[in-house]
Amino acid sequence: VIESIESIEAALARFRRDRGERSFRRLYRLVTPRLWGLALRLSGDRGRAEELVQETWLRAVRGLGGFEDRARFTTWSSGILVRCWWELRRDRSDHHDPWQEEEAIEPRERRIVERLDLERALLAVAPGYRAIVLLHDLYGHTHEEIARLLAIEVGTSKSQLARGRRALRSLLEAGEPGGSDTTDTDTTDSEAMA
Amino acid sequence: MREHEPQDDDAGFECLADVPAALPPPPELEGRVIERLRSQGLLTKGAAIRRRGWLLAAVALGIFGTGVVVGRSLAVPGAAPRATYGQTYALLLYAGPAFAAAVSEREAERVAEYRGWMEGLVRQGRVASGEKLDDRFLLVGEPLPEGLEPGGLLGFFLIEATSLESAAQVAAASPHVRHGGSVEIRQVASGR
Repeated sequence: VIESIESIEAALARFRRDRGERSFRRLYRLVTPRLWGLALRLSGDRGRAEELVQETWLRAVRGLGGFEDRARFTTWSSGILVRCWWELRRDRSDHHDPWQEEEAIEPRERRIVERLDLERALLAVAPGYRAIVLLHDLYGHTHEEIARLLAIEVGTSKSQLARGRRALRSLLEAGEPGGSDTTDTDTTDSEAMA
Repeated sequence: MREHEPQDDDAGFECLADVPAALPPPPELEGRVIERLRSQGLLTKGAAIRRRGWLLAAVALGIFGTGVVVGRSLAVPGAAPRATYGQTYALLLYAGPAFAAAVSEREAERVAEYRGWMEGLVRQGRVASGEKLDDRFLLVGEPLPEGLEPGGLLGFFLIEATSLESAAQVAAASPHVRHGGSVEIRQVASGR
């Protein structure tokens, strides 16, 4: 009961005071579902989403001294997650251009959401657009925050949001996003998104 | 480009309106994250120790209820009549970082200590009431100020005294202070 009612801010204040495991668990349980949703949708892969969430918590706890109370912790921590994801992509030499469609490059990303058209469509949108649509429209970040997180101009964030939305809409209207490269679908993964 | 955009930039995208931002993470992830933080020395063990201390503190303060009943209804021999001191003060008992709760084999000793102190107050006609607080709590609204831990208040007494200083002397002689606990003394405003 306490976990469900206690605010993230209260749990955070408690953890900052004692840095204990029990306090951390409270905070973790309040914040992680949102981080997990973002990680899964950005990466499209459960294994990679786990890596992202782990790395995010590691950096968040390490960097807690730099967190300002004026910011929302959810915004701050999801920002860390986005940067981790962005770095991970950059470090993989086969994904230079985040604004480029990746029809066949990441087939695993599409497996996990076979039965959810919208989630599938999201994963079929180029990663850069996807990140902006997700961050702005689903996770409530401002263009200024997105620009900072992805190291792009505010204007770019705005224009790419419009493009990302158009791409998503057209994929949804087409009804069959990303082709049918889901032959070896892992059903437990797709159920996990439901 | 903007004239082709069908909606206000700041509005949400209608397609995503019903999509939940949060998704249930795999249960095993919590343990992995904690293990990783532990291996980096980013979690203290203080919480576990404090939790144990917390439990024992609550046990030790079990005396609260019984002590007050003794004061109210058993009429400890020699108890002075109430309201000879003029003012009512609240003694707020906190565990505090230095509070050493009784180890389990000496719990009875600790309880006897609190009981002895309280009976002394009852004889002096000082104890008006007192309650031990349960260790479950809910916190709503803004976070507590730095330094105050939710659930850190263990219990309280309302006692009679002639002044804030006099009430503080009573509190200073309590076993709670002797064992490293903190007591905040406040005058009850309605008694002014």
